[in-house]
Amino acid sequence: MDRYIISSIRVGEIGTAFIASPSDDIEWLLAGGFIQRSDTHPSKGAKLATKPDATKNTKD
Amino acid sequence: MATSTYLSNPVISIGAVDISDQCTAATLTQTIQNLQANAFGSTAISYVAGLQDNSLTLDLYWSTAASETYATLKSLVGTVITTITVKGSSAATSATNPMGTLTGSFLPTLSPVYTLGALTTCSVTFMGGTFAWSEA
Repeated sequence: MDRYIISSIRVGEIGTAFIASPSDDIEWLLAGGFIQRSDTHPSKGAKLATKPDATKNTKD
Repeated sequence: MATSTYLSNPVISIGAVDISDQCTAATLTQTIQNLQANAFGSTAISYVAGLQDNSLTLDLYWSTAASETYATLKSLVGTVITTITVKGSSAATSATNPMGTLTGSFLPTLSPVYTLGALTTCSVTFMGGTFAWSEA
């Protein structure tokens, strides 16, 4: 089963595991950069592949 | 008289994505079509319930930064969105803080408005779908 980690504050705490519900559109979340695939569960030390959007939004 | 005043607390989520901090207004219209059900002998118009015809309009800032408005909406145009939720406060869902869920709505258009001297905005309307309130 694929595992995902959160890479956007819009979905939850960055770096934590994303627990998908049946209604979640995984491909859309991946394409938007909200989550990332992870081969390793975050509890085992998974790293984000790209820099998360950790900075607070500035309404640009 | 008790009223509900929302200054910054409403929570708008498209799927699992919380878009609240880009949103300045959310207009939810829960509609059930009224079908005339008159017959000979009727003395007044009467109706029965038809199909739901719900919509949700969000006024958003058009941010193109990572994981913001553009990234959220760009691939949703012309698709059916599984769930959108609207809640007056981030507090737990309850009878006094109900959560509205629009399931299976359609996003037909995406129209950012670029204006000189103003933040770029975007108003999107999710049309159709099934709507329900939940209190728990």
